[in-house]
Amino acid sequence: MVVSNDDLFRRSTQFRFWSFTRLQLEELRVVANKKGIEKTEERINQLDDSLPETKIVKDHRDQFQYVHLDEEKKLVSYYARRCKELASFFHLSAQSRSTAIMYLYKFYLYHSVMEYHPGNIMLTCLFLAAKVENQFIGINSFSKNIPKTTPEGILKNEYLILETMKFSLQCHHPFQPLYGFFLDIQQMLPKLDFNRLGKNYDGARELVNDSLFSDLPFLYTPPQIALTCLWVCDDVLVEKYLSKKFKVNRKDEPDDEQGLQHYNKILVIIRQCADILRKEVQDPSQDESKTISAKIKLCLEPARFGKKILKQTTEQLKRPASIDESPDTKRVKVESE
Amino acid sequence: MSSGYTKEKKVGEGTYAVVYLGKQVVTGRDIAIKEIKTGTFKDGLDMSAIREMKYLQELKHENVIELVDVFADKDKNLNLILEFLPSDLEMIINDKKIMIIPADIKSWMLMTLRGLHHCHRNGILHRDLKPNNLLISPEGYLKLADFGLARSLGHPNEKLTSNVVTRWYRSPELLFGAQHYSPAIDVWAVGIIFAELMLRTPYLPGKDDSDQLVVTFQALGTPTEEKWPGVSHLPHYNNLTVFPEPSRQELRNRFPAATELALDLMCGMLSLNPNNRLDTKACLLHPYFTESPEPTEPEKLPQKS
Repeated sequence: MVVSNDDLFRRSTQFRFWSFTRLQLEELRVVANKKGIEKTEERINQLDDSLPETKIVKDHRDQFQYVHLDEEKKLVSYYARRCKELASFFHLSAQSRSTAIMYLYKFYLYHSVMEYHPGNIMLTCLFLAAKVENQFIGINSFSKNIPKTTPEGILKNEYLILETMKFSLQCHHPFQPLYGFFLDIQQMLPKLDFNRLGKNYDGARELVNDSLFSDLPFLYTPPQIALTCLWVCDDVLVEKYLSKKFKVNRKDEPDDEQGLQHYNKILVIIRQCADILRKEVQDPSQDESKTISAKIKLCLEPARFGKKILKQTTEQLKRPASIDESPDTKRVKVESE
Repeated sequence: MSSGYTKEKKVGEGTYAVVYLGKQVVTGRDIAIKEIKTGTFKDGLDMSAIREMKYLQELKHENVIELVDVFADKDKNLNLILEFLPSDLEMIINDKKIMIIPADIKSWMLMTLRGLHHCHRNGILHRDLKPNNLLISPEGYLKLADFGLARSLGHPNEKLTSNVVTRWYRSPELLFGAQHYSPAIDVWAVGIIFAELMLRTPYLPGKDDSDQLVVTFQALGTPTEEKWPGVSHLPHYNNLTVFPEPSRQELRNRFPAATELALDLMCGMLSLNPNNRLDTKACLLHPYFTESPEPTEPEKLPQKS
C-alpha cells in the first residue's frame, strides 16, 4: 500500500477532528450558543429567592439579553487579535502564536462566551501553545507580565482546554507550505524577477496571519490557504506558476487533460478561499467588545441584572422625587440597599 | 476509575508519570496506563507529557506504539492509555539465554526503520532512540515508544537544542553541539542499535560527554573539514585527537558475522557527515533487506525468557 502525502494529512487530527463544512461549523456554534443560554438560565433559576433582585430578574426575564451567535464570534475574534499582540510581546514564533489563536477558536466551537470569558481562556491558550510549540515560558514570568492575572488563574483552565481540544494539540499552519511554494515557484519559473516574488511572499505572509481571524483554517487545508494568499497578492504570477506546474496554456503543445482538470479545480478552490479572505476576516472594535463583555457579565452573574434594573427604577423614581419627594420613593430606595 | 479501564498493577514510575498495567473493560484487551502527575508541576502540564500526547495522537503505524485513548479521571489526572508492550529490545539484547540470528536482526531493523520512516514523513523527530525505547508486542512486533523528547521539524532557521538523545546513541553533530540538525540524528541512533544487535553489547559506550567523542571517533574516524565542510565551526569542535577512518578490514574484524551489505548499510547510517548519512527511505530500499536470509516473521522472533 502506498501512503500519499494526502493520506498523511487525512490521518492527522487536524483533518479528523478540526476540518468542517460551513454547515457543520454553524451547527456547532448554534449548539454552543444554546448551551450558553441554558447555563445562564440555570444560573437565574438558582438565584437566592430571599434577595430582592431575584424577583426582579425573574419578572424581567423577557428583557434579559443573551449573547447572540454573531456576537460570540466577534468577541472571540477580538480576543484572538489581543492574543496575537500578547504573543508578540513575549517574542513568540508565528507557529506558537497561530496555535494559540487556533486553540481559542476551537474552544468556542464547543463552549459559549456565556460560560467562559474569552479574555481568560485566551491567556491559557497562549501559555499552553507556547509549551506545545517548544517555546516554554514559566507561569510566574508569564503572569507577572500580564496585569490582573495570577498563575493559578491561568493554570486553572489548562485542563479544560486540553479536554476541549480532544487532547489533539498539533496544529498545521500555512507558513510552511507558503515557504514551500516560495521555493517551488523559483524552481518552476527561474527567470522570474526575484524582487517581485519576494514582495509577493511577504504580502502573502501577512495574509496568512489575517486568515486566522476567519473560518478559513477550519474549511481549507494549509497549502490551499497559502496558495490563496499568494494569489491574492499576485494572481498573474500564481496562475503562471500553476499553468507551468500542470502543463496547461502552453503555446506549442496541447493541454494535458488531467493537468487541466487539476488546474481548474485548484483555481476554483483559490477563488472560494479568496472570497472568504476578503470578506470574512474579523477585527472587531474595542467598543463592540465592551458591549458584548457587559452582557456576559450579566450572564455570568444574573443577580447584577436585577440590581441594574433596581438601580434604574430607583433613578427614574428619584428624578421627579427631586422636585416632590414622596415617602414612596424613599421606601424603594431603602429596599434596594 | 472512569471510562472503562481498570488499573491492575503499578509497573513503573518516572519523573512525570506512573505506569500501570490494566485492561480495557469492554474488550478485555491488555493495556498500559500512563498516569500523568498533574498539580506537581508549578508550570502546569509537563512538557514531556505534552509532547508524548501531541505526537502519538498523530502517529498511527504498526511500528509505533498506539495511543488508544486519553482521558481525565475524577482527580483530574491525565491518563494516556497505551497498547500493552511487555518487553523491549534492551531486555532481549541483555538476555544471554536468547540466541539472535542475522535474520532476527534484519527483522528488528526493518520494523525500527519503518516506524521511524513514518515519524519522519510526518515531520517528527524522535530524538531518543535506544534499545529500551523499542518495545516488543506479545506477537513480536517492534514499536517505537517514548515520545517525551520528540519535536516537529520546524523552519530551517529555527534553533534546536543539542542536548537530546541518550549519550551512547548521540550523533557527531549533536556531540559537537549543533543547533541545526535533521532526521539524520535518529538514523545515526538506529545505526548504533544495529551495531549493538550484532555485537550483543553497546557499540560506543562513552563514560561521559567528552569520552563519547573519543570513543566515537576512535571507532569511526575523526571528521575533518575535508570530509565534512563546516564541521570545524560547530561549538564543541576543538582539541580533537585525529583518529584515522577505519579500513574495511578493521570493520570486518569488529563485526565478523556481518555480510558486506550489512556493513554497507551500517556505514551508510553511521556516516559522520549528517548530509551524507542515508535517510530512512534509502535505508529501507537498501539491498541488505532483499539479500538472503529473509527477515524473520515477527511471530517467530525470540522473546524474552
